[in-house]
Amino acid sequence: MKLEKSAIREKLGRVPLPVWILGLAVVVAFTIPIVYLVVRALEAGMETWELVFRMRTLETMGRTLALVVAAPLLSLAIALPLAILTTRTNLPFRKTWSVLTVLPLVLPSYLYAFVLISSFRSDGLLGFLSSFDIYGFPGALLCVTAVSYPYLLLPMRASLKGMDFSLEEASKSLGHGHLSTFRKVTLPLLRPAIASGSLLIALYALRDFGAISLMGYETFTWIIYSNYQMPFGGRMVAAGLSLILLLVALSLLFMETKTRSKAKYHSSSEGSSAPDLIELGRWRWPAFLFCGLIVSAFLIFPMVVLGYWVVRGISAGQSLQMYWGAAFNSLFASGLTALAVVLAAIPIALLTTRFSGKLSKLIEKSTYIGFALPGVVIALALVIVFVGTPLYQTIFVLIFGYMILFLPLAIGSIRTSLLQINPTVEEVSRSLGKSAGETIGSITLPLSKYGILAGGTLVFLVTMKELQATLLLGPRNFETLATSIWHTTSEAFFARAAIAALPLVLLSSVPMMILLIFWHRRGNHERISGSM
Amino acid sequence: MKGSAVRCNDLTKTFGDTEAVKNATFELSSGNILALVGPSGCGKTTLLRLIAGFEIPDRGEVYIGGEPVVNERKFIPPERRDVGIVFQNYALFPHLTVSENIAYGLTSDGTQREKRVGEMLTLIGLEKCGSKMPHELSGGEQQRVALARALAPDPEILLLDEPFSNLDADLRTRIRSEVREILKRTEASVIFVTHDQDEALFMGDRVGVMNEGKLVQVDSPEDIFHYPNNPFVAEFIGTADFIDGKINGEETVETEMGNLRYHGTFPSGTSVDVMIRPDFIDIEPVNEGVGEIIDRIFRGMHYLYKIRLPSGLTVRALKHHTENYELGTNVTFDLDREHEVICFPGK
Repeated sequence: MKLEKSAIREKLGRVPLPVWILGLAVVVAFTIPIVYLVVRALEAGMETWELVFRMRTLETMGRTLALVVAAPLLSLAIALPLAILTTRTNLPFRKTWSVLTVLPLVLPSYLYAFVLISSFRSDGLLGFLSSFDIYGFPGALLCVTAVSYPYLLLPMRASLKGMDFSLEEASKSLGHGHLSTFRKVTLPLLRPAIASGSLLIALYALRDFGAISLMGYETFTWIIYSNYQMPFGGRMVAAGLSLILLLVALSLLFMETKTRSKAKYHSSSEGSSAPDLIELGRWRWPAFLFCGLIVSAFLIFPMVVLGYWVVRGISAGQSLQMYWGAAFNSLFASGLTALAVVLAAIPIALLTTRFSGKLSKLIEKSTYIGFALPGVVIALALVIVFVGTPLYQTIFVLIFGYMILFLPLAIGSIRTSLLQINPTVEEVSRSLGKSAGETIGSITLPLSKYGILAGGTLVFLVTMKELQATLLLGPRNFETLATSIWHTTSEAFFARAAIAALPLVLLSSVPMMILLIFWHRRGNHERISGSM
Repeated sequence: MKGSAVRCNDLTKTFGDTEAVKNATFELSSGNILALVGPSGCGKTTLLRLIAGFEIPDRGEVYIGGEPVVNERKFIPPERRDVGIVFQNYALFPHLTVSENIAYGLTSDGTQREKRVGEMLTLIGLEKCGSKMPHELSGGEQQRVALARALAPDPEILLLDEPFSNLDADLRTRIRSEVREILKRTEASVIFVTHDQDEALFMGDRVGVMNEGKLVQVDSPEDIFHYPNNPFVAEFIGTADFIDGKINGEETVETEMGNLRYHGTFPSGTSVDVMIRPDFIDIEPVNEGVGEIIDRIFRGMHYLYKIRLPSGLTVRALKHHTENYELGTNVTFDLDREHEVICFPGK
């Protein structure tokens, strides 16, 4: 029997036609700009390529790779002890530390750059320590690490918590002590989490623009940006450079997906009894001090510096109202983006979870574009597509750029909750007389509401902090809190930067709280991309 | 005469290289329960899903209530097949209350809807639980809600996919008689899938045995047990051993345990495999007995003895738990010579 039309319709029918159309439309719309960028860059003439392949590019590549390698290493040095202390020892206030040590994730890298610069510059808060030069590599490394080490901490803690404790018990029963068991059993089991977290941080370092630009450490994102602003074909050179950055990002992402499949295999949620907590003994307070030091450096210190500059600014007559407009722009753009991204992500998440086939695999992969590409590349692609059209430099193109960047975050979150729904629940609904569409409306979406909300919240949070795409795509004179902080810091108006940063931190902490509650409910950490 | 609830004709479904269901043909009349039983992976769940419309057959036809729902020309989607289904995991909608779950498939409105939900709650004995959420119920209660939800729209056919396998052993026996009673009271037509032969014999008015995608035999529980039509059914339903035999014309088959009466007809001289069930044999310890006890399994009320015959083949025999013999004891057989044994063509 050949598949008749009605049967084909049924095969596709688990995902109704409108969902297919929407999903495919999203994918096509999001892929075209990048394809266009690649085509245009490849068409560029010899003179452009000579400008791309020159000594300066090689030096930039060296600086970029230095940061890409160093940031995960420094993060590991911070995150590994934290992960063990907060999951496996009798550290005092363990629960509190485990929340506080993750919170720096909410800070954008340029904000930490502001904190360092406004403290350690000769005219800064701690300017008397003037021998200390914060600019360049050390500053960039510190900023990137400060805000991205939680990408390692979260998966390592999840892995430590989800580990089957009987493995460690078996090792101990075979005569291995705490240390030997850790080295021979625990650490090897942590390896996938370490690999995957490190690659996320490497990706973060590769994509970062805010911190490296303020710190004057010229990596790839910076030379793309500066070439873009140059007249006479600078844009094409920027496009050529983007291709190189694209290749590096794709290879990092490829490595990340490889380690991810292994991580799934290794982590087991079947963890039996709670593990024996390691008695720290006289190391208890030094361990406490270590956690205190990390939280002080990456959370308390930035807040104190911020507070200092806000108070100093206000007492010097700065108006708190000067960033109302920017705050409104941030809220407006982030809210609209969160809504738009969720609407675009739902059909794609449905397609990739409810219909398994080559097409849905392709759709899923293509949405990783935003995950792989630095904001500057996506922004450049959209500039090239929209320049000369009435939409150029309007909020629409900006939000479109945000959508491409952050779609994978929302898809990931929604997919996770869709996968948790047992397909039989939907089948029962079908057998009770509801069509595939009605079933999605009355069963599937209500059951995945937390994933949808968490996805939207996450997108809101990262859009608030976004800098590069906003600088390149925003309408003329369109200031958000992010661009305000960046501009004022680069011009050393620290009090103004602080006044812009205050609402950003406050507005980000609400969605962060919501996310922490969601993740807590789910009992495991959501995979968070490097685009925060 | 009762109408036909379900009829399948030459139904076939392959996944990749494996034929999950091969040429399944059967009919179930209204108000009856068909228990489909077979080892895991035999295709019984696929057959169920083909009837429900969750899978598309490669070939064949399905009729529900006399109407074709799938054949070469048409495919009716699950929501228009008038089928109720209860899954192994119950698949209750976790965001809806018990009443809302039961009402989900009803097309009526207002008081009629409420009345039907009330009837169903009474039927399953959970009148007070209407406003509870599914996770507040015990496993057995969830099971009954899933059943009520599937029965509420009064489907032409109810499909149950291993509905008891998530329950504890003792709860299971109790729940399955409750469920059978509910099904009989509502006169539902049911196809019930299980891998447990006891459950199949208990639940089914008809029992269908499946093996490697084939529906091997469909019969009454008694006939399935007493007159299996192939060795697989014989071994799967109950315990069976096979010894060599030769038909010697006069309604008897000659074996090393003596001449036995057999069921059916074979040409004289045919070599056959003779099915011996443990309850058919009685053993006596006698020094010159031809059989030797080589294994003994204590089953509480009974001992199950494994006995080696002179040919090296073995048979098993049930004895009361007071009859405790040592391994190595020689025994003779005491058989009911009027009982007809089942023979299968020998290899």
